[in-house]
Amino acid sequence: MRVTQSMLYANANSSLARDLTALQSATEKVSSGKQLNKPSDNPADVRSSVGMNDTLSQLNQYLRNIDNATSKVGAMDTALSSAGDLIQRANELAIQGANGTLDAGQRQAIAAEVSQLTEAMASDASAKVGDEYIFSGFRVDRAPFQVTGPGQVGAYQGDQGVMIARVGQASTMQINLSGDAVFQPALTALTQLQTDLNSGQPVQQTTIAQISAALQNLLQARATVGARANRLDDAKTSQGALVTSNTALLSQLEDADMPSAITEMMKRQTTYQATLAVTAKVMQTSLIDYLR
Amino acid sequence: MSSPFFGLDIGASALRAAQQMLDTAAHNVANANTPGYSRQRVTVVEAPPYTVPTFNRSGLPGQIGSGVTVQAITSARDNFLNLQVQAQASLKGEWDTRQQELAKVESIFPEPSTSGLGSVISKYWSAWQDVASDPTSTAARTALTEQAASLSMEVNRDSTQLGMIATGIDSQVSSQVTTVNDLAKQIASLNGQIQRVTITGNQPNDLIDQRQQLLEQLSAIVPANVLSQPDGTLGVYIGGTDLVTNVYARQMVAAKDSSGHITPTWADGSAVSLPSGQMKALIDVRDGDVAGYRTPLDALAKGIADSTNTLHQAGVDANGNAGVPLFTYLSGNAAATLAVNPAVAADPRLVAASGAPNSPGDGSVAGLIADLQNARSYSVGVAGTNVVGGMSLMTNTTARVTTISADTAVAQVYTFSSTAPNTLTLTGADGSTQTVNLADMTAGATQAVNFDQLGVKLSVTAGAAGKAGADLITDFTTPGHNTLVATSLYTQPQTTSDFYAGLVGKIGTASSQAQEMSSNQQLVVDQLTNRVAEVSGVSLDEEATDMIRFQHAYQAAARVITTMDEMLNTLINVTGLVGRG
Repeated sequence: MRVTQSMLYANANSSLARDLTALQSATEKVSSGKQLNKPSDNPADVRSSVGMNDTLSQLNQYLRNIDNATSKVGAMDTALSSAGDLIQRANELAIQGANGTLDAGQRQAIAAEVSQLTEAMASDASAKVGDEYIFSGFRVDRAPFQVTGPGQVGAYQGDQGVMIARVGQASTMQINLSGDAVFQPALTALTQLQTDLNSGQPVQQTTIAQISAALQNLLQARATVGARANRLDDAKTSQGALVTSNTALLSQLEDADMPSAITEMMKRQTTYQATLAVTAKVMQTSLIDYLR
Repeated sequence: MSSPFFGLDIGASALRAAQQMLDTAAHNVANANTPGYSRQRVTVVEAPPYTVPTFNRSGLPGQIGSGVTVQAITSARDNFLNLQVQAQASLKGEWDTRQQELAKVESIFPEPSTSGLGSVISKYWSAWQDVASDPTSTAARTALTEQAASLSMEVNRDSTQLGMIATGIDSQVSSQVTTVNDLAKQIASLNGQIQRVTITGNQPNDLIDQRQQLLEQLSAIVPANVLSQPDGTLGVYIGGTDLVTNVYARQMVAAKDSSGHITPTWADGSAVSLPSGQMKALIDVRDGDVAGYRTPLDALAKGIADSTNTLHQAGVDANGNAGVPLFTYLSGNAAATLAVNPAVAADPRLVAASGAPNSPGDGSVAGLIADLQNARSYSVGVAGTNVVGGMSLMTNTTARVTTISADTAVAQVYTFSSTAPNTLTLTGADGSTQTVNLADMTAGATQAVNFDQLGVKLSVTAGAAGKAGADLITDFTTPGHNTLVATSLYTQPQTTSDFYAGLVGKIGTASSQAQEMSSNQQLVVDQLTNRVAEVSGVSLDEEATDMIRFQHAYQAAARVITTMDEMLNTLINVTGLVGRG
């Protein structure tokens, strides 16, 4: 084979270009930490990665939805707990008021406290998250019950709207409770209790029964809210686990295996340097250098 | 007996030959790095021997050597190799260009990333979820309109960038047409010079090298076939049409085609057939790949906009009014013109998140729109175009969940029938039916024929004469035309993300194939170039030894002349001086 100078130069150029391209792509992997940097790096994997990024974005969104729902459920629980205490106190007062030995003045005093309880109950029903009344259904811009006078509360102002939270793919749950269902019986009972006490007669047994039914109703609502909080917790755990596993999968797909990427880069670098050294040696000499 | 001056002539011929050989070595060294240069060699032969005229053979030799003659200067060239180099140069030009252009396309879709269109789409749907969980929050509504705006901008940008690649290709094609014309003229002019040298019996070595070099440049752009003529000229053919014949060059014209793109044609208007080369790659990328990526991008933009708008318009905004379209776009150019309705962008209260008036806490419609993220769209098409007389049925992509079938792609056969004048009935594979009324159409008008419940949307375009609704019914229900088979065109249902991932995958595959082919082709060309260099390249070591060889020959020839001179000096000045003291 006849070897000419131009072959040497051309070969040196193409070897150097090849080595440098390989070094560059190895360096890109190391510096970006990703093995997928553009669609052509591995079209099938990039395709899956786009899909998985979408899934991951959804999962993170579900986590945000769950947090949002949790804060609402938490506020509802606080309000219901306080309302439960109020109705409990009303129950004690009712039993006290049913005692025939009390005089009218003492009953009036009790009635004054019940009036305070009624207003406090309306205020509990007006619990807000941000600017939204949570017991008003979709009418979050209006308090569910308004205090119309001392111990007097108006009719329910909200609607029966059901707020749904998306807590997972194809998994939704109801968040809110209507103030109508939860607080109305208690408020009615409290109003009746005031009427009974103001009448100067001992509190009727039916009123006491009404109060304990309202208490049961509130306890049940609290149980429901507690169950929802648990479900949200569970959902958060399971979605969180999905986020972790999907992130790991995505990382497996996208991220470069650092030790092997660095080894690869060092190997490319060595090859490149060797090519440079050899090229420099070969290109320096020809017969001309030895003719004197 | 030969003349005493005979030896001087022999010496002179040797001097001339040695000098010629040294000159050629100098020429070789001078052109060692000239692209396309083939090393030259001096062919020397013995000069015709001198026969001593005599009647009877004396003791003298019959023929006397008379020195050396330069017969020709030839160049080392392998024509078969040159043809191979040309053919491979066309392929290399094609794949290199394809790889470069597709790399530009790829850079528009930098996936996987947290800022590409894929993540913008995910964020858009997420923003709807935030509105659904907190419909009274102005922040969530504003975030949504911002996200919708960045979705629009991203889709606009991608579409515009694809358009810019197509425009860039147009200007490259037109400058390549100029280059081809220039090269053709230069080759034709060299043909003329070569012809003149050849008919005098000489070797136009350097001119042939130059022509070969031009042919290789030409081959990279357009695939050139060559045909050698006895007079030394070369015919050059592009896709069967002669570009250069003898000293005449045909001209190529950069013409605008019906879509406004630059396409090469011959000066007489006939099409240029391009089996390979850079120009073919440019046209392929522009009309095949780039156009093929713009269509799904349009479908994606349209799918997101239409499906959002449909639900949004069914919703109620924070003012208690019915929703307005969230997105606007110009049909036929959806990706480039997608925009957020300026009214909604200006007032986030116009985001229709609720299902009823006076329900500020109701985010049910926002929730439904957010659910579109996982909705699967069906792409339904018609087997064959123009299957219905006088009309074209177009493929339509809709982003809505239908009841055609579960997630499996199966052949669906739909049958058209008519139950009343102007009423067209479509019967689905499961026997479910839906009817629509077909309106009369003026010339060139288009109307949508939507069998929404069956998931089939068709667009019907009237011909130049227009069409009455009743006639359209006849066209649809004519035997042989009345079955809509959506087999091959019925694609796997996909979400917006699947759809986009598919597009990215397609771009990645095309680009990675081009990269691979381009580097393979580079190896082939490198190998061939090496073989050409092996045959035709100048070796400086070889030339150095030759120079020493020829220098010695020259010195020896000069010494011969000196010796002859001394002999003649002896003969003329010294001979016959006997006895003169």
